[in-house]
Amino acid sequence: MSDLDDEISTSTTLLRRVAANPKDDAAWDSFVDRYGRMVFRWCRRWNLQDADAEDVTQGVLLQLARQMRGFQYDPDGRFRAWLRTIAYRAWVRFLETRKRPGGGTGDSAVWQLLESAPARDEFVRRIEEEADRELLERAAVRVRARVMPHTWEAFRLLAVEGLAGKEVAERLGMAVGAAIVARSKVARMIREELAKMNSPTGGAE
Amino acid sequence: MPCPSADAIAQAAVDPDAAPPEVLEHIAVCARCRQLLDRVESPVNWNWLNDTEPKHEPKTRFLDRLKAAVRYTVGEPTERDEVGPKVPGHTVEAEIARGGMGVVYRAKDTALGRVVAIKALRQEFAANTAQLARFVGEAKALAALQHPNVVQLFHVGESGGQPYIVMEYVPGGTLRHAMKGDPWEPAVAARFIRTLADATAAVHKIGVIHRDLKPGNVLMASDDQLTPDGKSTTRPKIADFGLARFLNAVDHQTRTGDVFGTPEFMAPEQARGDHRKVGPETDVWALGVILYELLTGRVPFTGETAHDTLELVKDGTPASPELLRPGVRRELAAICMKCLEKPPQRRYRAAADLRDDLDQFLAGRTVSALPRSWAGRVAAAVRRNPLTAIGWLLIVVALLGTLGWGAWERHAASVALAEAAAQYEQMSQRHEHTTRELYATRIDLVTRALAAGNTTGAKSLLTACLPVAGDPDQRGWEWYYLSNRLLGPARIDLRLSDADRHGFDDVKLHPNTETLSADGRRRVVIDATGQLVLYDQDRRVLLHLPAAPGRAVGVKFSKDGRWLAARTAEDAVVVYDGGVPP
Repeated sequence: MSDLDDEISTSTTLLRRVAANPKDDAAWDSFVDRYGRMVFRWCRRWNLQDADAEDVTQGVLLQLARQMRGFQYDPDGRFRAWLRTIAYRAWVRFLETRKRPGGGTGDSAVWQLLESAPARDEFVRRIEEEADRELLERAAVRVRARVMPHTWEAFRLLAVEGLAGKEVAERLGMAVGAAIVARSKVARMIREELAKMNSPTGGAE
Repeated sequence: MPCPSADAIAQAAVDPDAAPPEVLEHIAVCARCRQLLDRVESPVNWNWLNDTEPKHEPKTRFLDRLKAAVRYTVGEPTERDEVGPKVPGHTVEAEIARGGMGVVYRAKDTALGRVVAIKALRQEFAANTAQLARFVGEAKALAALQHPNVVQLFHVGESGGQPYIVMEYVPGGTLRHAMKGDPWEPAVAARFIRTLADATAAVHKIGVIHRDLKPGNVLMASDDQLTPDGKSTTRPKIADFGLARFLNAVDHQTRTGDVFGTPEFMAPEQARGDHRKVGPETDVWALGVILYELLTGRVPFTGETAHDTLELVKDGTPASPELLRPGVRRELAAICMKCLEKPPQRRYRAAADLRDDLDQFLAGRTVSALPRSWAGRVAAAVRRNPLTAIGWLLIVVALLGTLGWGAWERHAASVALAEAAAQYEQMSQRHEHTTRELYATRIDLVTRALAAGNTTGAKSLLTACLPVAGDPDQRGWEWYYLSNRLLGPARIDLRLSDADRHGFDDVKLHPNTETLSADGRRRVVIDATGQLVLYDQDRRVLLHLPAAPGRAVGVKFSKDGRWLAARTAEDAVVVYDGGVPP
């Protein structure tokens, strides 16, 4: 709000932070840490070698940053639509710059694959998924701070690790029903937190 | 057992710990009831919370290079930045700040040739014309007010549906930047807050409350005059009077249930969302928080999350500044703590009263926050040492009771005794809280002293953490670790492949993002930047441990509680030595 220092808020995702304030260097760093890693891993899964993966990651991330700055997020609008547009435009722009003379070559077979529509769509989807994942992680951190450790453990072992109720109950020394109920409670709190962060100006969509 | 009622299941979902065992047993075996329990669930990919070992991680060096490149890219000017709001009679020169409320530009008043600042509010703030009109009304009053320590407002207008505020241009940073986290000389801090209180009083006089006073809203103008020894001086100027209510009112229509503002500087009535109680005392509270931070180097209320901070604002009792920092006089501490009274009516009722009391203090006279009357002294004694004072009261009441004046007096005495006992209980809880707060502050100061190479200071602070007779021992792993660090390096760097040999295979096999100490009172969590943060049982931050090289991806206390091992993204294991198991 009326704050020249722009305090960091835990309730806001990175994408929203950098969209609201492109001068927030710390937010951009965290943005690189999260989305840079994600793009890099994605490239490696497309069988790009380390050096090529680094090239693509850098090119795409710089384009994402440019798009985010040039195409301002309207807090009244839909966050997801904005994000999709940003990701799409960044990818297309990135491919365009590669085509220019001196834009780099790399393995042509891989490049043909990258230039295909499915690759583009998958890239956009991955970005969206990462944004969802970040939101979920943030919601989880906030909920975790509010519940008892054993309640959280019951949730984690059952919902995240996928262990059987009986095993979880034994490990935590609680009744099976209590563990199941604890899982449900934490899941509900996380959903509520997500809903709160998802409200018109609170987060994604 | 037949299926419990839907209510009973809902009850269990809200508070599992209080659910009757037979209900829990039933839920474990009955698919129908489990379904009921999960009815609201939509598919969420919980698997995302699983930090499985990612393959193909980029190199840290590459990420660092990329960060620099991104920073550079976003720092380049774009066409969008060159367009500012179109304000008649002004040319926009440059963007100077950007925040949640909009963008601030430096501009020139073409007729007067004077440099001004134009704050262009986000489009959505134009939506509510009633609120805008009210703000314009307040802005007119503010524009008529001239005070050396209030950022001068010139006028409020609208350009293409976007509201803007034209105001005095103040070069220099904010108080937040000027503070740099170090405490100020108490007398300098007192004079500074006196100045802010005087400015606030002048604005309160015309009926405008700030509602969001904080270091980020205090601009530090460099004065034209130089001091006799040739140094340039700065003059604080408070910005954004009246803006908070306007932004808040508009924002409430677009957000749902968010508490608006900066938790650390919000008054309890704001934290509770009780906007009718907001008044001059709300600004007095904020001035008290700023004074507290200037005196001690830390804000009085701060928790792990904004939610925790707000809980502390509502119910927490901070340690008096005189305890945290020797050299702060009792009178000044009392003034600060009077600003931080929870009920508004127990604070200074007006910013002018705070200013006057600070004047009294600066002149070395008795302050109203710490009267030298009999009652005041008793009150101060209770504040300073609640346990002893109330203990005495209990003895007096008990004596009166046993001396025996007759049944009625005895009855009255026993009622008083019960009340005193209840108060005693409450006070000892508060005492416990204050003791932990004090301990946390000392640990914080130890790390700062160590960072500054001041081992003597660190040593004496660690000694000060030793338990006083009758009080529980507050020390945890961090105390032993810091003591150990005083003696030499308390950190061991291992390669992941060597971790097993040293008995840290745990951290390799189970990269947990948090771990509990052996005594269960400390929690270490990996934060967003990959640093380790150590929290106490009230979720107060005690210690930061950088895990370099690379970010920490897993952390684990050893079974005996002595070692804290962190695994980094670069597959190194960093082990911190707590010396003796606590």
